[in-house]
Amino acid sequence: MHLKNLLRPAVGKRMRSARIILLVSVLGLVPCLAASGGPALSTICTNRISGTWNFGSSPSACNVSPLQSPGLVKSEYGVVLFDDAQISTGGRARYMSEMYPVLRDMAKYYIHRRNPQVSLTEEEGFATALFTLANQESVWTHYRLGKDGIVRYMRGDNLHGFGIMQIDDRSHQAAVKTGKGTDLVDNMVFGLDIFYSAWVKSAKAACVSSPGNYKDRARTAWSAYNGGMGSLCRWTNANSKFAIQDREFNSRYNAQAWRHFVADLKAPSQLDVGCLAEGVGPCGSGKKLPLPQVVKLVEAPLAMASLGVQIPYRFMRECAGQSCAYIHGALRAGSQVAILSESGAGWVQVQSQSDGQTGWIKRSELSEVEP
Amino acid sequence: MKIWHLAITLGLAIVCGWWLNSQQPAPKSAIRAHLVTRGLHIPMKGLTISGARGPAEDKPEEIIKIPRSIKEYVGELDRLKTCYGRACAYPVSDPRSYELAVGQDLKKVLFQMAEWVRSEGIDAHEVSEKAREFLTSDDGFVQSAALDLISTQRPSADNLDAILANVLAGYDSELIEHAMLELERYESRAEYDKIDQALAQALTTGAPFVAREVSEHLTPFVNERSFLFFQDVVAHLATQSASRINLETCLSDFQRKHTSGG
Repeated sequence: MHLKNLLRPAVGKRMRSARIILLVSVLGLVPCLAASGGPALSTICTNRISGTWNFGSSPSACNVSPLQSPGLVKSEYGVVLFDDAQISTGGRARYMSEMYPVLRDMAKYYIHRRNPQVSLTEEEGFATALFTLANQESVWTHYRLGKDGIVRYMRGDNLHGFGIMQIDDRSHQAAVKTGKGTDLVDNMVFGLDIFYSAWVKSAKAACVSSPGNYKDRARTAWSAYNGGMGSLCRWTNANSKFAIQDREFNSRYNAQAWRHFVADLKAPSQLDVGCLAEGVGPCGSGKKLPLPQVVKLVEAPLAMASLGVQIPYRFMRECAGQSCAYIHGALRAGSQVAILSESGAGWVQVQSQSDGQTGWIKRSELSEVEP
Repeated sequence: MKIWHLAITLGLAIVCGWWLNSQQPAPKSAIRAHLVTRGLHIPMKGLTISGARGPAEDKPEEIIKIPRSIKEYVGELDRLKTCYGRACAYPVSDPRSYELAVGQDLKKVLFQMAEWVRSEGIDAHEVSEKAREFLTSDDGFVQSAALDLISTQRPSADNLDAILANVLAGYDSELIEHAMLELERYESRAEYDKIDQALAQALTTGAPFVAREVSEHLTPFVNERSFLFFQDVVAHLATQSASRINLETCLSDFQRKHTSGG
């Protein structure tokens, strides 16, 4: 709606009053929203595209950059980069045939990493649970190459969900900021860290008939993955607000729709999942480790100080967005910091001289302040 | 259009602006004594905070009371914890929103309590008990605040066990650096052994990101007593893994310093 139409006098007085109220409210909200700092960094999405609720292309997707290099995705993960231009020429089946062994190998790598004595039946149960989880969360969607040539990754749940495992930025903002939601293997490992915790708990859950009932365990662990550990047995409650999601998970577990697309269930993965997950290349063609960020020290701080000896250590707090509670670095007693600014209420913004990180701490926790 | 329509609307806009501004951490702005700067966890006397925010744009309406004693802090934490099991005034817009919002308020009160306990120099078993209780949370925000609270207290066997069982054996790698700094405060032989075992467990069968984080902060734990122990651990790690490379680097650094007398 255009602004000038809001004030158009052709309508009745009541309607005009309503429009003026609406306009004033909108104008009033502009500074409000500006003051609120806008959306959290992690929810920023550029070059967003939609998609279809089908394997490999579920909506929506955002540019992988700047969280990951498009070139790296193409070179390292090219085999599981869903190409929007190839949908009509068998692209979906090719994608699924490549993604299936990646998920299968990831399930195997992960459960053996956590429990080297795991039985073959549990390994298979865990793999089926992961196939279903990925179906439920993202319809096996992660990387997508748009018809415009831009490399994207899947974002769902009002942009809060990242990638194939739908890592939620509200719970895991720090991980998302460092790219763990964007990189396919990191995304799977991060999601499995949470899912496996629920999987272990599910063995003793009241709603699971026996530890060997892997379908019940998958349903239990997914309820917790979706709703938190307090929701372990949510799937048994037909009156739950989220019962429909739990029923969908069950249907997907039974249907195993991915099988229809996969040409050879025993085909090897073209990605060395275990190597990629351990974070050290080269893995086949070689995954590059992210370069450590070099933070420049402020050249002319207000003062220099060291942390009070009476305090073993303190944590600086980042005040970006709407939260100051995010811990991102540690300072030991005696650590040197530069004072960058003061709040006037006992808090000072400091920069660690060892790693360049900035944050806010209480002034009373500083000693030996030198101008 | 009556003038009072406009006045009400403008009033609403101003209130909205004030409210949203009050969510801003921006410590540069003067913090008046009667206002609460939410993110900085400064306890204020005799106040209630309304409209406490959950993560991101969630806007729960649960009222948080600002406690002024251990008893009041414990009471407020207990009250908020019961919200996990009953319907408090938090949004249920998606499966996680409610629990996340409860966790955000718990985190806030725990951080406030830590700040208060630290500034008052309080060392009391009730504080450690609460910290341990919330260290078992599966919400990383709550755990981080509980870890902050536990670090205000003297080391104890129970606190050590809680850190090892809930953080080192957990899956939130963001907590590891803090936890390992806390572990450095434990200095008895029995505690060392317990810590070494837990570190080895985290490295070998722990959550992969936790293992990697542990391996990056091992230096203070590698010494003459533990050197051979950690050398054995290397053999249990994947040949091509960040954890193994970090541990090997740490061991060779120690060996080099030890042999050169540094």
